[in-house]
This record gives sequence, C-alpha cells and structure tokens, in this order.
Amino acid sequence: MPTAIREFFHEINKSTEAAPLAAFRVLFGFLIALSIIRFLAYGWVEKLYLAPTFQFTYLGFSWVKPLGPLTYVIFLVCFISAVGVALGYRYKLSAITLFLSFTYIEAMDKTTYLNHYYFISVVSLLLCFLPANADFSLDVNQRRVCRQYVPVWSILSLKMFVGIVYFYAGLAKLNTDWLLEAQPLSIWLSTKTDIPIIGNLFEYTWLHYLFSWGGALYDLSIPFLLLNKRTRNIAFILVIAFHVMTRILFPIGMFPWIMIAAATVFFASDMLKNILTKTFNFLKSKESINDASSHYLSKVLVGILIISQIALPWRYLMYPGELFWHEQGFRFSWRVMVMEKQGYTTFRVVDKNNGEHWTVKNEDFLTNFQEKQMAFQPDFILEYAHHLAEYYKINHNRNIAVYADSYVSLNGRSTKRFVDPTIDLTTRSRNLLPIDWLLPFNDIIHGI
Amino acid sequence: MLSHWSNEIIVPAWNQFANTSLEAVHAADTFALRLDSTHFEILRSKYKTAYGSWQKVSLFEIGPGEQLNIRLRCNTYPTDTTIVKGSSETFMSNNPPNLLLPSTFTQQGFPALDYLLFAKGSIKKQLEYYSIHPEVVGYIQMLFSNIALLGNEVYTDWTSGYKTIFVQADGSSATASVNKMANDFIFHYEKELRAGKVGIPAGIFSVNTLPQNVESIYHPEFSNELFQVSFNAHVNFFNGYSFDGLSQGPSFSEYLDHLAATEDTIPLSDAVNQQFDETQTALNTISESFKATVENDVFALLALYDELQRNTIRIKTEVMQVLNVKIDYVDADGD
Repeated sequence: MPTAIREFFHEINKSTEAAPLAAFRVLFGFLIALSIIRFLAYGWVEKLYLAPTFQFTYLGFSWVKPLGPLTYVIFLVCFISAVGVALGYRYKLSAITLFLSFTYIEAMDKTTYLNHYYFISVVSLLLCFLPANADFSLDVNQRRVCRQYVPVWSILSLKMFVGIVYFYAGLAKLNTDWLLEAQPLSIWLSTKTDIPIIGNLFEYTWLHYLFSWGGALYDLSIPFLLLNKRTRNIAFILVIAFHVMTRILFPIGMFPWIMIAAATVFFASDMLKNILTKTFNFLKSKESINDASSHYLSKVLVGILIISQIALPWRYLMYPGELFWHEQGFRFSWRVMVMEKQGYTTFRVVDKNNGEHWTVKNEDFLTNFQEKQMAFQPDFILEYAHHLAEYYKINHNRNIAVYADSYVSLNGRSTKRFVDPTIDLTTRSRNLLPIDWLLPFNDIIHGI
Repeated sequence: MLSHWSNEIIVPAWNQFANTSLEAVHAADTFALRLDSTHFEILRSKYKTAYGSWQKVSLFEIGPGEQLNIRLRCNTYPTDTTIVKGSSETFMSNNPPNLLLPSTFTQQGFPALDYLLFAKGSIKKQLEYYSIHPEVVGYIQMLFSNIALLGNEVYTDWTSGYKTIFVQADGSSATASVNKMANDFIFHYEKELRAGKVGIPAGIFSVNTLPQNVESIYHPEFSNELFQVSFNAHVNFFNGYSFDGLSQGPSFSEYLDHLAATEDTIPLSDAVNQQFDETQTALNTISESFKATVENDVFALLALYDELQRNTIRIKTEVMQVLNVKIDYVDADGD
C-alpha cells in the first residue's frame, strides 16, 4: 500500500472530540422532526399520499405504497425517531428507524421526489453507521455509552457527503444553458419583481447571469472554503446568505435550513463543544474515556456509501442523448434547480380487438400535481401508460394499446413533441435500458 | 394588472350577469302569472341573455364564485332529465330540493332550464305541458331565482371586499392572484371550452360521439353562440380588453411581451393570438348547430377541437413556463 494511503487510513482512524458529530445529530434530528410537523400541518399527507388513487413508484419498489390512514402512523414513527436521533436516545435504533420510515415515505410516490428529501435519506442512512451518540446524548447520560471521542472518519464522512452534494450541484450547472443563456434562472427570476427591495433588479438580464455564475461558483467552491480553517467563517456566512436567498426566491421548504445546519459539521470541535456545553450540558458525558474504536464493518459500509455517492451522478453517461430531455440518470445526482421543464401529455388508447379508440381524461386517474409531473418525465409517462392498460384490462376487459401525445418545453425553448406518437407504450417495459420511444431533442446543451 | 382585471373586466362581467339573471327572474315571475305565449317568448329571450352573460363570468369563478361552487350549480350539463322532470312535476314551493347538494347539480342551472323551456319544441306544446303540470312553472321560477341569488352574491362579494383581497394578493406565490388566474384561465380553456363544449360531444374522450352532451341540447342552434361568447371571453381576457371592449390594459399577453417571450422567431403572445385566429376560422366553417355537426359532420367539430388543442399545448407548456406559474402549493426544487 502506498505510504500516502497508509497515512490517510492512519489519520482517519485517530480519535477526535465527538462534539461536531453530536451537534450535527441534534440539528439534523430536530429539523427533520420539524419538517414532519410542517408536512402534517399543511395537510400534505392527505393531499399527496391519501387522495391520489394511483402512485408513481420507483423501479423495484412498487410494493411501497401508502397504507391508508395508517400512513399517519409512519409519519408518527418518523417523527419520534427523528426526536430520538436528536436526543441521542437508543441512538442506533432511532437512526435505523428514521432512515427506514423517512425513505418509505419518500418511496410511496416519486411525484414528490426532491433532492433534499433524498439528502435526508442518505444522511440518515449514514448516521446509522456513525457513533453520533458518543457525547451530549441521552445514551451517554443514561450510561449506555460512555465515550467522548469518535474516530476522525466518522466526522470526515459527513463532511465529504455534504461536500459531494455541493460540488455535484455545481458540476450540474456547468452547461451552456446555465452559463451562456442564464437558463432557467432567467425564467424564474424575471417574474420575481414583487420581492421587496431587490425585486426591481430582477428585470435586468445581467443579474440573471450574475446569479447563474455566482451560484455555480458557490456550489463548486464552498466545500473547500468550509474545509479550510482560514476561510471557514466567511464560508459559513456565504452558506447562510446563499440559502436565505434561495428561501426568499423559491418554494423549497426546509432545504435551506437543513443545508445551513449541515454546514456546521465543518466547524472546529472546540467551538461546537462550547456551544453544546452551554445548551446541552445535562446530556454531557461525565466521564472521558478516550476510546474511539469502531467496528470495521461500519467503516467499510460508510466507505461504500461515499464511493457510491461519488459514482452515482455519472451514471447518465451510459445513456445516449440529452440528459435534460430523457432524464435517465437525472434523479439522485444533485441536479438541483438546473432546469425548467413543462409538459402536456395525453393518451390515446386503442382497443386492439375492435379498433375502438378514445383519449383518456388524465384527471380521472391523476391529481393535478401528478399530471404536471408526469407530463414531462419519461418514466412517469411509461408507468402511467402501463397503469391505463391494466385498468382497462381489469375493469373493462379490454386489451388496449396506449399512445402518448406529449409535448415539452425545456428551459424556455419552443414546445416540441416529446414521445413518439406511433409507439404503443404497452410494448415497452420499465427497466434501466436506454429509452427508445422518445423523439430526439434536436438541440445541443453542451457541458457536464 | 390586478386592478385592471377586477375593475375593467371581472366585476363588470359579474355585474352584467347579476342584472341579466335578475331580469330573467322577473320574466319568469310574470310568465307564471300570465302563462301566455307573449310572456313565454320574453322568458326564453331573457333566459338566453342570462345564459350568454354566464359565459362571460364562467371564467372568473376565482374567489366568491369558487366558494359557492357557482360553475357547477349554474352550468352542469348534460342535465339529468329524469330527475328534472320528476322534481319539477312534483315541485312544491314550500318544500324545494336542497340545491346546495352536489347530487342536485344535474337538476339545476341553465341546462335544467334548457330542458324545461325547450324540450317540448314549439311554444304551443310548452304551454300545453305547463297547463298539465303547473308545478313545473314554479320549479322554473325557483331555478331562475337560485341563479340570480348566486350571481348577486358573487357580485356583492366582489364589490364589498373581495376585490381588495384580489388586488392585494400581488405576489408570485401559488396563492397570489396572478398565479391563480393563470391556473383558472388554462383550466377553463382546457376543461370547459375545449373539452366540455367541443371535445366531449365530438367523442374525443369516448368510443362514440356524444351529441346529447352538447351544451344547450334542447335549443341546439344556441350552442354555437354560447361557444363563441365563451371563446371571446378567453381571447379578450388574454389580451386585457375591458368588458365593454372600449379599452385595453395589462394582460397575460402584455406580460409575455414584457418578459420578451418568443416562440421560434415570433413573440409568444402573437403565436397564441394567431392560434386564436385559426380557431375562429375553424369555428366559422361550422354552419349547423353543434348537435347537428356532431351527427352529420363530426370532422368539422374535430377540426375545431384540434385548433383549440394547439393553444392548450402552447399555454400549458410555453406560456405557463414563462409566467412561472405554480399549479399548487407544494415544495419544489425545480427538478
């Protein structure tokens, strides 16, 4: 093994104060608990999961469905486990329950997919393997665990993951639409002129470019600015400014607060320890045992998780054509707010036995929100087409072919036909192979 | 834009609807006393005027109208003739049906009146029918007064407070007025104008054509005019024409121009308006009633549907994108 790598492993196995990990655990747990309350308060469980009669599922996870009124129990479990994580109570169990319940909720209907929900899922998975209860936790307080120190790798893995999120979000912006056309920000900012004080500026094209380039630069550089001790304070101010700005401009819910909280993991342990001692002293470990040993399996799994996070966003390279058009490899890749896409898709069905045909009223099957999301995402279109075929088979004993009349506008371009209208979508199956039933984008967006 | 919309377009439209529906009530009350052909003709004429002015407000259900479910209460068609016949022939003014119930939407409003005023054909036959079933006239009076009450309530709500709320909700969030109007506009264009008036009867959404689903089915020659009025209301609103047609103010069209939106090489607002022109051309080729067209020359109606569909696509993709319209309040991060 080369010396550098050996040294790296030696360094990450050293022990360090647990405070940054504890602070992250507390903030993260409480913010998720808050997110759940917010979700319930808006009535979104009913609106997004119980009201729809059909759910768009992830490939291989179509068994994950809302459970009727019991769905509220999943939210309750998720809330309790988030509080458990925050307090460090039966931490491992809490973290695992949090990961499973939150991920179940997200997998019930991919219509609601948001990168920040995915972020929460991955972080809660990561937390299952980290000794985040080593200090300032009920577990310590009640003497189930007695360590004040954790291995360096446990904190490093969180820093790396947060860094990956930012850096990849930055890479996703390095394309000609974003940099040369200031799209989609130009579309989004132009209608924000009602925002107090700065609103009037959004009329100006130069500001759209400034925000585009500034956003890309911010995402690419912020992990390094946070890592570097000398730039850390200014970097944290930038983090706050950036996310508060996104909160003002866009309806992105809890995401800004979660990212601001996540950035605290970069801070020096002394400072975080001081803050925690002042606020959470009652949970402070009374003994100071310098034992940061960890199970090698945790290390291996965390390593695999980090490596897969680095690899996953590149899977789009396996698919020919424009990523923004076909969206294969778009999700789970930190492509946050990089495109504006609107579609309109209706379905002509033909009875294969007698040739009878008609157009489906989407509102008979989908909510407004589902219809809007379905209209421009190929995997949604295909799943829905299959659902229609199944519906008419079961309820009307009809053997139907399904053709899509689909139109999409991307980043302000003129609307183009999206799906090949001559292809019966029931002849295509849901899988990870490249899609062959879309019409070509007929334009080029250069970049990553 | 919002004060222009409310002052110059929406409130005048509701005012006219409240007035014309009240005139229809008076005509019905007078007819109930006289039961003669002269007053029946007046009643039919007032009915048509009120139904026409309904087409100009149907698009503006936002706010008070939405709370009263006024579109469903005034214009759910096809009407359920079995229930309308049964309810009207056994009508007792001291025990009226509860028209607030969704299950009664198919026995009230203009479509039910269309059946009760026109189904027998000639004036003579109508009058004969009323003489055998005098309760029906009471039912007609009740339906008209319900419509007028609803119209008056919406108009009063607009002038006594909602207008201020509407104008003050001037942000760009999902609950702001521009966003809601944009959603309502495309919803009405797509579902009421394109599907309801044309697509459904033309058989787009069914195996066979559905001539019985044409609006104003018992007085079929009126359907073309109702479509024309509704279509004009959309075009005029999109372009910001005042209700009296004398002036033009801020509008979606102007906003698109302000945002410099284009489709290929032409302004997006022009593309929408050119397509409105194409739609009018397709409408002009239809000489018979919509019902007769469905039965004899459905391709003419399908051609009209295609023209309406072209703008549905354009508005739902390009226009909504440029206006940055949100369909709902949910979190989003743009993917």
